[in-house]
Amino acid sequence: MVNSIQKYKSRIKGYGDNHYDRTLLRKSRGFETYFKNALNKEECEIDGDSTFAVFQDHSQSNNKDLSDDKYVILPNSTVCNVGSYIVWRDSKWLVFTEEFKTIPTHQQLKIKEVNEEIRWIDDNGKIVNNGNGWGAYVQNQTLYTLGVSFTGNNIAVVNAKMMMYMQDNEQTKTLKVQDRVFIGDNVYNVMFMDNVSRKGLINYLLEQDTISETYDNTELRIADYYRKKKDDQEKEDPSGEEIAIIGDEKLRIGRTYVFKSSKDDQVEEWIIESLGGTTSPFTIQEKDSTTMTLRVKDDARLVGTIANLIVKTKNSGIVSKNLKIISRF
Amino acid sequence: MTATKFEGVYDLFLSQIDDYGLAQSEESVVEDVLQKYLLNGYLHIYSVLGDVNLSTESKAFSRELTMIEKLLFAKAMKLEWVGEKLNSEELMRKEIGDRDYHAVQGVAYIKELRGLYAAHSEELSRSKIDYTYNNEDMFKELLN
Repeated sequence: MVNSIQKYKSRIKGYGDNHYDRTLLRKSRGFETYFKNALNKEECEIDGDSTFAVFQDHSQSNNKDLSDDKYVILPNSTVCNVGSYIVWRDSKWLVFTEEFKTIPTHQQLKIKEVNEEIRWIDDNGKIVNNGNGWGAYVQNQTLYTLGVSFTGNNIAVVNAKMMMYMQDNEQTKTLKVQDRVFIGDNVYNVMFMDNVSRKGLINYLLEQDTISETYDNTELRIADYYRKKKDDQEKEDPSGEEIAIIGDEKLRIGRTYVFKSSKDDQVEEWIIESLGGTTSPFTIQEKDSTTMTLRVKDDARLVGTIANLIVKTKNSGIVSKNLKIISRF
Repeated sequence: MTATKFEGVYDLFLSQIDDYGLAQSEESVVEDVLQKYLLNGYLHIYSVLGDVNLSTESKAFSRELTMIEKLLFAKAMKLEWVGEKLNSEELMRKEIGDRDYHAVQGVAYIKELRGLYAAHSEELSRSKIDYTYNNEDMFKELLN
């Protein structure tokens, strides 16, 4: 007896043993059937992972945002969030909204096409995202000023404004107010950042800036390229500061002195400059990349002369030392 | 010849339904409910299976049933099962709904159930007729 009832019970459990479970299971199965057969299901890459998603058209009549938005429909098992990048049909898309489904059978998200790759140089002197930059959704926000404002009566200043969205991640967070980036062929200043209004995305407001011939790389379209590169080189040269010249500072006339750099084989050039007089007060006897030997000329008129010993290091650092010629005894 | 146990019929009946209310009950309760369906269902088919008696004590029929006879009992039980749903007074009560959800009153459901009951009833009569035509014992006098 027990046997047939137990079999029945376990069978019913499979169907769902209450109204709620049954309806939800039916709905999930309905979604699975839809997803399996959807004509608009296509292969894509979500944050680098290859997967399948259904891409659905969105009304084109609402084009105030000047974009072709799409809906993405995914099973719950696929990981995708606001701020995810989706590569579909050779173009990149940015996830803007995710619907909190009241009946959680699947996920639905809205995407917008990425229209600009923003590149800048990070603190390590590298172009962000391994040189690729981050995809951004950029929209013009210039209003009645038509992109020009006037200072006084005569000076016209660029005044275009842009609004930009990017994924909220460790690198995009480092972009700060007053940082400059290229959008199209122009440079813009970051004026405002907001990563709260839409979690997962950072919203930037930008104002147009003038292109600097000195610092901006218009070919690569990276702003402040040369400024940051130069900073790097100075940082990469710490050894120049570490060299010290060892030797006396007060030199007696008629004697020979040896100067030595604190590091071997680092000196490219020894230079001695002295004020006053057309002839040098020293005769250099020997010099190499580590030491220099010089002799002060035996001439009492030289007493009180001040000289500068300048050492140029091999990695173009400069170290100097003040020398003073004093009496023989 | 061993008498058929009720369980042989219950198994056939349970395979035809997917009632989760029944599945949630305790096993002894389920057994009582099944026996009730069987006894009430007997009313629908005693005319063709008059020689079979039911013993609630031994939970068995008075003789061994053929597969066709077992299926007839199971069908009669199913008709009882639908009939029980149809007689639910609760379905006729007015549900309270509010702005946030839509309450469905069971009256429309009863209409559908009535159709289902009629269809099952029809199916059972058809099976009974088929059964009697195939049972030579019942009309052998006519053949001679």
